[in-house]
Amino acid sequence: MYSVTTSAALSLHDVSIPFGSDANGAGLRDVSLNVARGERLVLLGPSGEGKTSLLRAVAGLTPIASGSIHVLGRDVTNEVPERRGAVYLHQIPVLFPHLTVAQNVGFPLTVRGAPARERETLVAALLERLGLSDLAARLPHALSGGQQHRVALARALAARPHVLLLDEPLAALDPVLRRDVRDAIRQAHTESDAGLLLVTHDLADATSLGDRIAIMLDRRIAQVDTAEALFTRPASRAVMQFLGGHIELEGTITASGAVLTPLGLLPLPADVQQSLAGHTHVVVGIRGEAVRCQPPSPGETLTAPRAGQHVATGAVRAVLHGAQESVASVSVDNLEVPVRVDALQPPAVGTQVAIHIDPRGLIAFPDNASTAHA
Amino acid sequence: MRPSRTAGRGARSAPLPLLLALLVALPVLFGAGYAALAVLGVVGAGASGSPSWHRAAALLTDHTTWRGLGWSLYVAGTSTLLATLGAGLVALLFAGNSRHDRLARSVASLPLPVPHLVAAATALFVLGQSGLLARLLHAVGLVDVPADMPPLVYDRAGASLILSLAWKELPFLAVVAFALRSAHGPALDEAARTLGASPIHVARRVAWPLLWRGLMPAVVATFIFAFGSYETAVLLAPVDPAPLPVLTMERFADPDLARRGEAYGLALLALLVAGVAVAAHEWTRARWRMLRQ
Amino acid sequence: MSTRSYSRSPTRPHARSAWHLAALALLLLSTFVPLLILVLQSVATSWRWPLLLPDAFTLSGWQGLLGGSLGRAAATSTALAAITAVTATALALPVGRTLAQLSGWQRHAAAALVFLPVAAPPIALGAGLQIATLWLGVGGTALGVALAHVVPAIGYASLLFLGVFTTRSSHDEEAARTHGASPWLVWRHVLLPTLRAPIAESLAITFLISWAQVALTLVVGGGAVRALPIEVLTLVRAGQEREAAVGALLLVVPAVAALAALRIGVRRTDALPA
Repeated sequence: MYSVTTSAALSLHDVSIPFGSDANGAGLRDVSLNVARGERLVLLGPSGEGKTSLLRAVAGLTPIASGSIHVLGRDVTNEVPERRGAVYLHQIPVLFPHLTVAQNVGFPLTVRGAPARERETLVAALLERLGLSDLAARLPHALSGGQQHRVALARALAARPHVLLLDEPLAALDPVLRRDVRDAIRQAHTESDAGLLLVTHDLADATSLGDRIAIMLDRRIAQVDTAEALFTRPASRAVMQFLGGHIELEGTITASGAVLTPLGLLPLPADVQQSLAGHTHVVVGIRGEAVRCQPPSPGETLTAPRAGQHVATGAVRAVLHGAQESVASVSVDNLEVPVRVDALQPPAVGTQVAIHIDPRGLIAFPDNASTAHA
Repeated sequence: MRPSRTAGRGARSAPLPLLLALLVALPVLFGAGYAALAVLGVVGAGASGSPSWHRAAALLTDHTTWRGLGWSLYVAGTSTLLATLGAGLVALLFAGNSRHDRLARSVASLPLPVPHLVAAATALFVLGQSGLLARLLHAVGLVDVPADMPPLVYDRAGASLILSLAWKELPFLAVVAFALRSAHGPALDEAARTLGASPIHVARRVAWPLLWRGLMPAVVATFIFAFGSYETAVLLAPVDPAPLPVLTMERFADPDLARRGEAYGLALLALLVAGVAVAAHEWTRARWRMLRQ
Repeated sequence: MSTRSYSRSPTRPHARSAWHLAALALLLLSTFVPLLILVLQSVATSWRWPLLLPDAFTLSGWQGLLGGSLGRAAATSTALAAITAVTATALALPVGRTLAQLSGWQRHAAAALVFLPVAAPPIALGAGLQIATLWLGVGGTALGVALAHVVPAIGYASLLFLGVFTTRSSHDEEAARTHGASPWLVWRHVLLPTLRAPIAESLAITFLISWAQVALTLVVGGGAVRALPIEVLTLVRAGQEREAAVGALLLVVPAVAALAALRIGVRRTDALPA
């Protein structure tokens, strides 16, 4: 039986939102999530998956069809938005255009009837914390985009929320501003024990901001994990494909527990072997970082894999240079294999190279299509 | 601003557009100039040919001039205030998307094109001493004969005049208010709600402050239209104090040529008020544009 | 916005809807009762105190329209308003487009200048226009009155088009020019077709400005130009209530119909009252 985790800032249990109930997005099914106090959880998924609807439902701006929402253990499923302890921040900051920066930040305190002294002290502290002290008397229209985000964050903190809901805060920003707002979100959230739930469709934003990441696919939560765990152990082929960066191959499990693929016989980690119990046809995923290549040693001709090593050989077709890494496209039989190479000493196009695969970067899933045929 | 629209001819310099604007305003400027000369007795009926302050002084020291101006300002101000409050209330109450709300918005904007004259004539039929209101009050036993009915028409408080003008101007202000509400969308209200504001707080601290700031230009325009409306005043205002438009029209028709010249002085006074209103209109518009950015 | 969460909220939904209903009822009454009174008045022969409804009816007021002074006045007003609408819209369209090029204080100055004839009290405006039309030799004629009506109408329509051209992107004009269209062809094939809605709006509003005009017609027409509002004003002041009501309805019906057909005003925030 489900029990409310009282330590969690936010717990969602089997929340469903019917399709079309909200102009902002699709519906979603049976979402359960916990966000711990002080934790930053990023909801990551392609557009149109109902992520925004979920945030709005938590804030009380969109009705839910079933399920329950708890904030700090209190059931707020039927509570009005202003009494949920959850602040929702729109993608583009929504500031009150007739109020100054200080009045905007002080708004949550004003509507709660906080004494003026207390309000001024807290507003000053928040402005200081987000680097807005010099802008206190400005009206929102006189602020830059990044400053507007900072004001919205400061104002949200002034409400002393238990949950902060950020809807794609980085989506519409240019790269420089993006970093600025990312920093602002971190600044705002440190020292706060609010649970932060942030929606994004951008993997880089998710990994840079999230303590944990919840992947949303097909209107459900597909996996909740740290970034590291997501990449090494994606819970499904769909998650693996969504994250990208894996080479996918068909394979057959051999008696030894290794898997035979077009790149040779690859040994699978023990836990992966266990998860495949009973399946012979599998889809193997190889993390890009696990694939390396080596030019032949002097005098050696590469015609066949070296015995005992899980190595294929192939010819370098092209090398693509990027800001972070350089990738050679190596053709092995009819397969084009992307291989990270030393950017300062890339292999020459046309040369034969030996491909090495680190078994720690391997994952495999039952190939449902072929089991069905079998 | 934006690059030139007329790609072929290149950017036009400012003088031409400004000249065009001046051309549109020319009849008013001409009228003001002529009126000034007429008041000085240089041109027009009873002109002596040489300027004199005599007429202007007579006009400015005349008690009825100031009473008329003051009363017209009072009527226009009160009716505009009523219409603004009404329009704001309607816009805040019926902001939603339900059938009720949409019906209310349609009904509120329906009288938009009703001429002032019709509003005034109807006010006579409804608010006059033997009008519909008096008959209704009789039906519930509050009024016995028409003379018992407190005078709402031709009264010094200008009750029927104020109500008629407010009735006529409310739809316009309401239409502007609806547009303002829908332009803001629900995001501001939502933000306020999740920050802890109750619906009442949202109305008081967000919706209303923004509404009246956005309404201000229309309010100023409404005021000046109410101020200048002759037909409403002539049908519903008392003889004393006579509102400025009625006073002006009377002087125009005066057989005494000297008094006819005074009509231009009153017209000049009205134009002066209009000029101030135009400046206020543009100022409030500029301020609102700034907030909207 | 009504959501499940809202409707279950502890605030009292019944109190809220009661307020709404009361306000809606008041709105309906205040809008329709005055118009209903006009209708009743237009067919009443006798409406004795303290009856709430007339006790005898006649259609003579309406029958008198044909060939009567009200009918002639309506025809005069229609002609005046049509001339005003077409002239003012045709002139204001290029004016508004030109003014939209301005920025900063020049823009504010231009907008204020253009608003001046709209804001000027009609009597004050008429004082100058009376002299001007006399000088032009059209004083006291229908043509002079039409000229006078065009003055505030141009101001209003210019402001309308200034707003339209300020928000309108000129990309389509630029595309047409770079694809070989002359300025005239741009007007003919790009601007006029895409500006159909604001043009219709301008025609409707300027028509109404002329249609409802009283003081300007009186001053400039010198009582010789019997437009419909002048006729109605005379009837109201003479206490001829039945004919006055017929005339008033004649003034209202086309106006309300035009508005309903156009559904104007909904998207405008800078607009001015008609």
